[in-house]
Amino acid sequence: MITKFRGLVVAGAVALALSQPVMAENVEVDPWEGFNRAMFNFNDGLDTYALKPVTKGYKAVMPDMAEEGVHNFFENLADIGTLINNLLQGKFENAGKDFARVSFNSTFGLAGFIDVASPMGIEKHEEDFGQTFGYWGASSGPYVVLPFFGPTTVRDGIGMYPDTLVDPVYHLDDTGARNALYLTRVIDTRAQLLASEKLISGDKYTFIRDAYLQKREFDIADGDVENYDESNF
Amino acid sequence: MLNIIEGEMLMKKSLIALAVAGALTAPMVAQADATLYGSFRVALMSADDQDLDLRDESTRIGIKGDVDLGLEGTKGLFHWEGQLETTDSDAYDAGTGTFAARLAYLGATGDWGTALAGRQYHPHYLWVNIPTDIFNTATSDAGEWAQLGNNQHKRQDNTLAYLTPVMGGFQAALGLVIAGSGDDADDDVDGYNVAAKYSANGLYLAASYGDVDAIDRETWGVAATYDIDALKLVARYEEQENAGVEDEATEVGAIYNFGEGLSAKLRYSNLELNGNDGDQWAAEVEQKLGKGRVYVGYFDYDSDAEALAAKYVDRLAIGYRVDF
Repeated sequence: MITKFRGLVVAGAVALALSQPVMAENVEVDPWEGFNRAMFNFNDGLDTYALKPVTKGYKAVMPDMAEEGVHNFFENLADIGTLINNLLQGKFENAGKDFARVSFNSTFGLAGFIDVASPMGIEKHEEDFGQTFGYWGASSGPYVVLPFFGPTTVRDGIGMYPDTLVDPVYHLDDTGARNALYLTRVIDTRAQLLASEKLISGDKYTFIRDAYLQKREFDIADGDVENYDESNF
Repeated sequence: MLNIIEGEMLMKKSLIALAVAGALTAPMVAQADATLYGSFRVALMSADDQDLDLRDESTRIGIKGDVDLGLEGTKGLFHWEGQLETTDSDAYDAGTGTFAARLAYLGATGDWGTALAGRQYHPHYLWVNIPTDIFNTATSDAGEWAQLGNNQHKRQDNTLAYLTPVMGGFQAALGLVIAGSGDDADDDVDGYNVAAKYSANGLYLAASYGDVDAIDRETWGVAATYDIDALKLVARYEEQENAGVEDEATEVGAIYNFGEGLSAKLRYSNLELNGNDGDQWAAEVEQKLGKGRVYVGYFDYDSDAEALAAKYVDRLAIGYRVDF
């Protein structure tokens, strides 16, 4: 009887010890939860009543092939930022592949609408300034939800500014065309998230925060994360 | 009924036997040891302030092989290569483009070396230019802009050549032009070209000197390439004296092989013509696809280079090539 009781105590202590750091971590990564939740609710409302209906309309109107083309087009533009960030991170081999991707996709791929580089075997990378700062050793800082822009961290939020500067769309002279491209990209990005959003369960805010933070950590390490095992699902 | 089926089966069997026999005899007929080969190449050129141009990039088709001469240690050889024009039918009408001989020579090869006679690459182009020519675009306004050997010593009619066997990585060559352009009736030999190369452990070195007395032109050049794992470095320097005027071409470049057929190339080159010189920076990505390849090349001239000739304009080359 006593042994059993002892066992329970030990188990409880272990459970407590295990759960405590997790709670501590939450406070650590998200000290501005109150503000964030307010912003999150604002974004969520905006999404529910404006962005998501527009995106659904877009998906309904666009043939799948055209949708894919638009997505490829923006991915090709994003490869330019990835190329620059791979250079900044000293990943020259990856940068060379990014250069090859942009070269082939912009020409043979008809301005990027067709991703010819992937079937050729030139793999795609995704890098941005937030990841570069992380790779250099900057910690993420607190989690922040920005109005309109959504989840980010202090580090990644700062990274958004240079990201904009290396974005080819930003350098378009024609304001109308630029804004049209910005808007199309937002819709395209949202369309990509429609499928994965079905996975959300429990508290939507916490779910998205944890998913975001884990994804960033994973991306910065280029998938080389401790305790990560592709077959471990 | 049964007989008919048996008969049909019998016929099928004999047909198969015939087909098998045919398949066996076919190589016997083709045993002349000749190789038919070809390379089809086009590029879409986008030059600054110019119309788009879909351009043939030296498409060629050829036959080559060796024959038994009944001699011990010596074989006869032949090689013909003609040009094809994939984008311009005018070249066919003129009668000069289609199948115009790029190469047409015969010779013999053995442990004593190789002797060749006919229209062929000169040692200078063969050993100094080709190993250091890393870009796919063949034209002088893009990949081959700083090649003096390209202009003067590429393929010559009426040429005799002797190549020594390879001795400890070394090889030497002598080419004699019996009657080249600007033929001089007084001289038996209008021009000559001597060259040597060394190749071992990833290092390649070559040097060449040529003198065409008939038109008062001397050309010399040195080339080096070095392989370090996935990286290849190339360098070339050429000098040419044309009736007292000195021209120079310098090139340094690198190729990085990513594996799976993908490579990236970067090059700086300088060309000096008639006392004026200019620079070109170039980059190319190439993806090999089985027996084919695609590439995208960027060529950037500085303003001095643009002043050298009207064709030296910044350009983008999008190319496709298939070989057989």
